Amino acid sequence: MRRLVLALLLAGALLSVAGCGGDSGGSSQNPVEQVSSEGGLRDRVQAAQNVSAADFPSADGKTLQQVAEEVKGGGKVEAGLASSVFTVGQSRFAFGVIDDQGQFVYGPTAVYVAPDPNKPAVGPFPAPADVLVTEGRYRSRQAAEETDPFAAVYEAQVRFDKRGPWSVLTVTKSGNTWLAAPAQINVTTKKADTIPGVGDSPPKVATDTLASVKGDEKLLDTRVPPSDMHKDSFADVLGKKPVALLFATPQLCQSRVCGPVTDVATQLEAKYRDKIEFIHQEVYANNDPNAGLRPPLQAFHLRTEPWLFVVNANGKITARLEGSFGIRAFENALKTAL
Amino acid sequence: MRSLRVAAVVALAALAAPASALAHSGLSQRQNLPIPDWLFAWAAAAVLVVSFGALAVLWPEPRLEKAGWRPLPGGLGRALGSRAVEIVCGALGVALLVLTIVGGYVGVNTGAANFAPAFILIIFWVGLVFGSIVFGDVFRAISPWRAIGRATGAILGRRAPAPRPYPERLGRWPAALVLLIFPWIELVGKWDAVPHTLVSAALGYTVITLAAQAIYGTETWTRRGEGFAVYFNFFSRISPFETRDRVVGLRPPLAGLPKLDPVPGTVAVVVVMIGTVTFDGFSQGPLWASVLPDLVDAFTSIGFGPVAAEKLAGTVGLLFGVGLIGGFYTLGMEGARSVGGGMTLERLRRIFIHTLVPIAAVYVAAHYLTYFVYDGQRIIYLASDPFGQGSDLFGTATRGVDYSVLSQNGAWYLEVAFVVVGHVAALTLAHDRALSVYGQAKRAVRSQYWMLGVMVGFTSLALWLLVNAGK
Repeated sequence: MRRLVLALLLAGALLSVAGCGGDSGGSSQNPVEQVSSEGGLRDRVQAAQNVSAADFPSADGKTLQQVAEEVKGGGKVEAGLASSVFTVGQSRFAFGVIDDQGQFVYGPTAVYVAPDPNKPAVGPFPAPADVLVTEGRYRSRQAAEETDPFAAVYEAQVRFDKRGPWSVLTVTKSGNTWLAAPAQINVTTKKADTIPGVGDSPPKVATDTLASVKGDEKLLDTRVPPSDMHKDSFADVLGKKPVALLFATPQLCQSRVCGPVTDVATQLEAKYRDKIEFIHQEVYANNDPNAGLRPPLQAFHLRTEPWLFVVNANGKITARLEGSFGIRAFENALKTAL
Repeated sequence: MRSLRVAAVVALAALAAPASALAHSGLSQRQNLPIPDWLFAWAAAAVLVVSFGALAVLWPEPRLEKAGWRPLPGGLGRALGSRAVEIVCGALGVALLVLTIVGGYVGVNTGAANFAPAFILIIFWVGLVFGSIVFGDVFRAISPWRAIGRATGAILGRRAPAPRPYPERLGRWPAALVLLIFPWIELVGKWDAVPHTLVSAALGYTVITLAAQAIYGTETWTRRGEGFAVYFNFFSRISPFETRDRVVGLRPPLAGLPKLDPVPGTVAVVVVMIGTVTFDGFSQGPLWASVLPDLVDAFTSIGFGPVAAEKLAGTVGLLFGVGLIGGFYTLGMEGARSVGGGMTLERLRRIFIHTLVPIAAVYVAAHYLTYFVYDGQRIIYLASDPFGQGSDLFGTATRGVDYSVLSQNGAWYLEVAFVVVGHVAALTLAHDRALSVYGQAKRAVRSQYWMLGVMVGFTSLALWLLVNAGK
């Protein structure tokens, strides 16, 4: 019997060694492998990840309208904006492309911008797709039951040289044709942007923990199942170790393109938990969209969700992401604090 | 005493009114049901009343009390009950205990990525209930603590000190305490989110159990004090499978329950079994959510910190759930005492307590069905990556939970079916016991008016908890 017990202990130890043999958790595979291959979706997303400006018509000497004329004819699509705060200089422009059947469209995509459709266009800015679908084990029930998941978000780093309204044209390559979608955005100055940005010190706000919501777990997290990103309050860890602070409401997200960012956070938390404290904060008071935003969002001057702020150990913001963001953008943001 | 009886009748009447409990409730997650939720409650109550009438007419003699048993055919029963199978099962149990404890410590200290919480709270605590109801007392075979105790006894042989006599007054009270503490750990302590703490508790329990087995003997402690062995054994008495003298055989379903010896603490065990699940369901609904902040504020106002206040509030809720069930059962028995027969309240509480075991079973089955079916799938990827370190031992590490295996409406129908079947089973057991105890069929039926009230009350409570938890 003693031998049996010893053998079992040894087996357990070996198993633990085998378990320790991998990386520090999370997945190291290409995120596109997590996208369903059904109907060629994975291939399309993969194609959408590899974008070169050279593959798109040049904007030299053309107005935005002329670029649009050049690429028209491939069918009717819409650009669903997945970010809303744009400032003068380089700004992250995130979006999804939706066809007239309401389906997401994936393919190599770029962005052109101009203050007015009849003004000279600037671009193309490559907009590679960033995968939003996590590994199955990190998928919430909300994401798992989505029949037409938002599998990837397009993201371009666009330069705006002045504030005011801007016209945007997204162009997606689909086979031998182009799919073009116009959009309108408003660009503000960095000074007018009251939301803490890179290099700023964030407000030292207390985020919700089980104690702060007086034991009511439903107030803590609308994700099913709840994430474990509520152990510490932001105020308690700020300046002590790197923090990824995510404002999101998985159940009450009201946009089709807000994306499963909390799922992405749980997947990356598995990989970075030893180095970064992950904190999730629900958005609406009492989880009621009519009851206003919770105090931490007000302290950050947020009016939309989701938002991610990455803060280094010195208590300075090193990255911020707004709207929908995928695994690549999230991970790149985390690396800025390490 | 008259006032107590009046209170009993009022309480039973209040709890036995399904419409009042459900009329204003909405099924937020089951909006496409073809039948309104209040109709489910009335239908469930009607099934019980019809069953009660049918039992009174068609079940004139006790049957379950004297049910037979026959071995499984073809030597299968002897093979399944053999020492070799017992050793293999025991070794499996010990291996799983070691894996769970090592996994809990070595793995990352978050519940979602650690093998230990999923295994302990879903597969062990919930899955084995289903396993026991269907296959009998499987935990007796795979209990790691019993296996270690028996193996140690076999190795020591005559050198092992003789066990001390077990104090009769202790009865199953130690088991009741374990069965109260374990849900506290899960529901109030939330130790599932802190695997290191959870497996420290498992390790501590292992040490205490092995010590108690050394003092009182492995089999005695397994029957009386080892909370999980008692818990799963109670459920296994519903099963048609029973092992006698190392032979697995068949008996009528439920027939194991009338043989339950109602030693001290048995009532407490069953009441805790139902009461803790009641609190779990209650704590997920809006009523508890509205009470909880005031309760927490009350504790903080007298000097407790926010974390301690939240735990204390949860503890109060848990004890309230257990007290509610205990009080309700006692009121029903007080009513049954009024029909005569010269029995004390304590005797009635003990001799009818086995009838609540099917109710405890369906409370678990209905309340944790989706938890088991959905969250139980986590073990598929956690087994491949038991410590959250990125390993993929079985090629399943990237699998997720498939929520399409059971629809929300399908789960609701199953839950309601569990509740109704369980309560009809309880009514049958109570009728059978009443015929045996009272001798006279007329007095037995009269005593069962009260039991019918208890059953309808528990049915209403179960359905209300299910609806409440879905909000």
